[in-house]
Amino acid sequence: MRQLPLRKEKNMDSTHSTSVLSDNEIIELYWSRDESAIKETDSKYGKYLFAVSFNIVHDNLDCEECLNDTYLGAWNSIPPARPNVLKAYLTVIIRRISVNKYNSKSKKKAVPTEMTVSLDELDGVLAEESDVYKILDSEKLSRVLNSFVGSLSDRRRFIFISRYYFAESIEAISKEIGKSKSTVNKELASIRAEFLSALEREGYTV
Amino acid sequence: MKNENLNNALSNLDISFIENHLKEKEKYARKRKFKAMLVRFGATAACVAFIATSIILPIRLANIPPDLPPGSSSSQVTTNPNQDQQTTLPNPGQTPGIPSQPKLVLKAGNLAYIVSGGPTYGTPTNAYTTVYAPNGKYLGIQPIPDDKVCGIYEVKHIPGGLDENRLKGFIDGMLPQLIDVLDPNASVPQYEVKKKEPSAVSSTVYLFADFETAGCIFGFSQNGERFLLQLRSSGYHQKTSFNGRTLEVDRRNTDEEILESLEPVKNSLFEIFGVEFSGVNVERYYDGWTDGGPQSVYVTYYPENSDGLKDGKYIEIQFNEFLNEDNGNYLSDVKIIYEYREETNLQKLYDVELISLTEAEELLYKGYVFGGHSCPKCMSMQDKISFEDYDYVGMEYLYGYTDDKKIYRVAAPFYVFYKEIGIFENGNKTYAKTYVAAFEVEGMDVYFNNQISKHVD
Repeated sequence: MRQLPLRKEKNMDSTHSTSVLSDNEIIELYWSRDESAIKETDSKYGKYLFAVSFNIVHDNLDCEECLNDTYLGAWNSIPPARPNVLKAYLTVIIRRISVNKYNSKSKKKAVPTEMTVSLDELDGVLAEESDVYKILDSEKLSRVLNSFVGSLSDRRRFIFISRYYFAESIEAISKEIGKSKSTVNKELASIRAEFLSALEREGYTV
Repeated sequence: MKNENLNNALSNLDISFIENHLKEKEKYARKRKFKAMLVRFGATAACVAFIATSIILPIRLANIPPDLPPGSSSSQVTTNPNQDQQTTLPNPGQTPGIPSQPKLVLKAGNLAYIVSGGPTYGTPTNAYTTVYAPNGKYLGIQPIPDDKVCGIYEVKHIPGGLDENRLKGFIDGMLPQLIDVLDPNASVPQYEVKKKEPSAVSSTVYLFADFETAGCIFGFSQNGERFLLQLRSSGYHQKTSFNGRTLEVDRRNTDEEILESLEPVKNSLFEIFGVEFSGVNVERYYDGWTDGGPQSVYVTYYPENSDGLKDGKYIEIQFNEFLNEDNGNYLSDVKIIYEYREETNLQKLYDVELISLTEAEELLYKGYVFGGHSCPKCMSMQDKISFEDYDYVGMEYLYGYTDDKKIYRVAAPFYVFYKEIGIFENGNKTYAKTYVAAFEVEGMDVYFNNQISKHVD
């Protein structure tokens, strides 16, 4: 018998912070270029950020990498940034990083994740690349998407963002909002239809 | 590409939507907790009502004083879920039968920490971890020992401070011979010993010296009784010469062939380091997309203790990121690690009786498993699979801290179960791998019942 091969030695620090700092205090640490900002961020949001990343890349090692890149991203961008809600700010960073990782992995035909499934649903909404995607670049699409998301009711927006931004499973969303899976599925189908209309309203033939 | 554009557009969603979403999420979580509290309160009220009507009331009616056993007060019932994670040291002499030497009592929550690798992602562990291999032979499964008893070890960090002279002695004792086998024409460089200061990422302090010579980068370090050498090629996929031959392995070979091809290298290293290790192991790391075999091959030589564990020192030769060259050679990046301690760092705390495979299977089927490091959400997201007809079983020691206080780092035995769950395009199979404690552990019911609520939060 011997040591588990796939698990490498963890950090053997003997110190472990127990008190959790407020967001403002953590942001101040970033602004004063105090490296403990990263440690405090990890202790407060590490678990949550890991979960966000895992939904997208579905691999522990990749998540670790995304998490480290997120902390580096936060370190490099604060200052000058002073986020209103640190958690949301970190979410945006880790999602972008994880999506990049997902894109590079999916090119290698890696593991299908909840992200693949949720995007495949949206795939049906949009026509072939020659139609929409030649006309709409990401920036334009973002504008349409932002205005569409803004037009949704609170609950429908929550469901849409949970599914397509955070790549959460239908089951998890249904548990979260306390509704059945079929209700969530119906809501999503109707949101997709609305998104289609929104694109058409913008003058695009879909 | 279509997905990619859409995903990029989603990434550019206004941050205010995300801020509001997180607020909404908290609101929903509060609602769920309130509902759960109501349910619990209702259940408790129902129990109290039941007890009152079925026990107390008849007793009072019959006017017979209740004959309760001593010590059956409700205060003995543990309701704090965190209590399950605490490592306890029984007070010697308090209870008959407990040895006078205090010993570490591992509970289910502690095992979760050991498996999940520390406090970063908390105690919950997912149901399994996915691993890849061409077939079961390459999963590195360790056999279940015939012994009915195994040790629980404390992995001790022996403090000894930083000692520049000892580090220099370690370096100078091997450097000339090491350079000689790598490149006889290279000269022994002057080096400087530096101190690694604590940082935000790691508070570990150690002395180190790093330099480049003989086509390799050398890194030496010292902290207490731990001395470490890490050596790798200067460039990416640059050949490393060892005694005039390229240091490489053919990853298509069997373990025996790999060990045989490395025999001269092993003998040289043993001579240079002045050691003789009896234990040897070949590990292979596979994925779902690399063609031509494993991504990495690690060969480790080490002195074994009675339970077959690495005991304080080892030599590891790592071959990473294999590159298929036109001439058929399988060139990889090479790294040699030599870790040395004057004394053993494994101290046996006590022996435990191993549970039988049948008992372990019962725990497996009940879902009392530790699947690897994860977070509550990951577990709730993971596809459920059944281990009822698992493919392989073995036993492994896992190393880890017992809780977030990081006081005790232990090695404990686990049954490890594998179930094949898919095949990738490169032909490798995917296996779900999960662990079951190989000895009787307190607090399993409390821990796993508590995990369920954590996983859905």
